[in-house]
Amino acid sequence: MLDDDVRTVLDGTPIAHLASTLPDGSPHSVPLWIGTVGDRVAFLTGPGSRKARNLRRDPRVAISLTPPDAPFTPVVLRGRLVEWLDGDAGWAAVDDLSMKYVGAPYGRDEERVVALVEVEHQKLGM
Amino acid sequence: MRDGDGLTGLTGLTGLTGLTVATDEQVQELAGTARTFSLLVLRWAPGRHHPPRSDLSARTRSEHDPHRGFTCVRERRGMNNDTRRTTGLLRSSTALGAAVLVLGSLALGACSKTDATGTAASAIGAAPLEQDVAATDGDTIDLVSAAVETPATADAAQGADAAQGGKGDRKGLRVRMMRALHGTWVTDSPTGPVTHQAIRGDVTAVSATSVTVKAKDGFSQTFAVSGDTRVRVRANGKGADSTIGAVKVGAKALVAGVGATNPTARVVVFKVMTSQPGGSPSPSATS
Repeated sequence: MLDDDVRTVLDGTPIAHLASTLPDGSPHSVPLWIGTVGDRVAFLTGPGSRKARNLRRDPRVAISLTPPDAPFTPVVLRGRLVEWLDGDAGWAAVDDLSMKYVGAPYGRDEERVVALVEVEHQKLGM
Repeated sequence: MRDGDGLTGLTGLTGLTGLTVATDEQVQELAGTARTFSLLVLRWAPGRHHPPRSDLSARTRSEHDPHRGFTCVRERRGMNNDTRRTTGLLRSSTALGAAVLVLGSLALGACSKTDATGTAASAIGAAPLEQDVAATDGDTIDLVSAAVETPATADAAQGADAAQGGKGDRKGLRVRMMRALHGTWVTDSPTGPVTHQAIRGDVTAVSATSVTVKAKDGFSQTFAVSGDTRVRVRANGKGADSTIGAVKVGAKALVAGVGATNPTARVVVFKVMTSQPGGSPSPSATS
């Protein structure tokens, strides 16, 4: 269950950093757009991206971000990837994210999917 | 026959009357504050192209170097037949070639950053160092006025080199042109000089009869649209014919046309913006 304050931050326009594990176990971290779909944390990716391949193999994720208007307030999440959204449902979620960040639907040039993360640990502030 | 005022050879550019010919110091100053509207006529000093005759064959090879820049409009020197010869050279140049005049100042701005002896010469794409070049290049890029000493014996070879050099430099020129925001240039034509204008930026107004584009630096230009205006659309890296009705406010567009005032668009190229530029504006979608 997402904390309301955490959800408020996620529904803004922070750039989040998503950590996953590479095949050899070493960490992999990328900045990305983030949002919520229902009670889950959502982000989009190319289906063949490094993070997508990492998460298909090992669904554990760690996400960190700070609110754009409060850069000294950390939001730290950990959880598990529980669902991929593709097709129309995926594009709808992609466009929701895109509208939030750039005010326009996402381009259809490349295939994109949305990952949904069930949050298991969440912390806001110090 | 070097003129003290640096106006040597200006009569050769019959289509470009009214241009100011700058001294070395002015060129240097302009290079430091280059704007897209700076218009320079640049000439290579003879020492940069013309080795001693015994060295001509080697130099001809170097003229083919595709990495050589094309910053400067080269003018053949001679006696009274200069005018005709030079006009022919200009007339044969395409709009692309003519645009070098406009873009010269941009490229020169970059040159000025490497304004050390020798490196300046190579940065503007001139021939590798020679003793006489090193001797005259120490202070600045003396592109403008030093063209008087070209040996007449090298003229034929130079004319041929000019054509080849221009061809081989298209790629580098294109890279430089991609950075141009807007500009005006003048070409010669059988009916007299023709003023061209081009601008790249966002469409701020468009109708069936006109289109206005605002460049990144804030400069705005309105072109009339006529039945002869060619409209092209680019989407996903491919171009196709389109109509002015398809151009929307907010689209990225390149418009080029003719006319010093109230120019008429010859070509409008716009990008469809339903998808984001590059397809993936979000960070790390592919990482």
